[in-house]
Amino acid sequence: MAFSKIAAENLGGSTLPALAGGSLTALNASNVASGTLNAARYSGGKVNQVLQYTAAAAINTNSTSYSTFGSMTVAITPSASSSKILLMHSAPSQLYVDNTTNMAHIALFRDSTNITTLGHNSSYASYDKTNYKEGSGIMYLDSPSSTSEIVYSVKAKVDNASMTFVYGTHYSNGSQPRQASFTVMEILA
Amino acid sequence: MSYTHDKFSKALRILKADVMWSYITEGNFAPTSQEEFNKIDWITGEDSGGSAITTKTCPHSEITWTKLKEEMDKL
Repeated sequence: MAFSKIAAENLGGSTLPALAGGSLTALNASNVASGTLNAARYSGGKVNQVLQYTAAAAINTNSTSYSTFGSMTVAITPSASSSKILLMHSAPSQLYVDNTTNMAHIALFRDSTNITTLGHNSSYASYDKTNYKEGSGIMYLDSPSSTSEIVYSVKAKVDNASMTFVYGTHYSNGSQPRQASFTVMEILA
Repeated sequence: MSYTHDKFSKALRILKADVMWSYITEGNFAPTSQEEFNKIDWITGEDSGGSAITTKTCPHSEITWTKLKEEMDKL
């Protein structure tokens, strides 16, 4: 027989005896009104740590190899090897390239490894008349399988050294850099 | 006096056509002094991961702060 309500008074006492969790066949989440759940019961997908660097940084380069944006670097130590690292890079409002046939590239690196190598998904082309492009972001979910410190960085290069790529400018005369940000999150498995 | 990134790039190429550089700044887009000139990363090669190998000591005798400033002033 299923009980809909049990009163301690009806059992000859003032308090109910403790019930073993294994005796319960169903417990709706709405019935949990207070207390703290053990972290092991809800850790999946939890954001464990967040690091961010923001700066009004700019880079002027004609390097055909990836050059570090000195400040756009974040070091993070995952708490578990099963963790994933979510990387979010927001470029400045506009980018400048002075060549109409080649491309400039922005990539995310894990230590010395480029982890955004699929085609030109992290590139900025120059094919408009003004040579200015709206900034856009890069998001990447990395699986480093490590609990050692990892340095993630944003780097840039151009296809041809005869072109110049300026990351972080708004005006053709280049007055002041625009803000960029680089956010890194550890997501628990 | 501040210079544009465009003048900076053009002046460098006038001094040495095949020079490669990377200039990171949180201020003006082009160096305005010897001190800022010394912050330019000069590309000297590439490592196995595709990243640039750089030095802050200019390896090009054709390029000095005095010559760069002179060219930027002309443009």
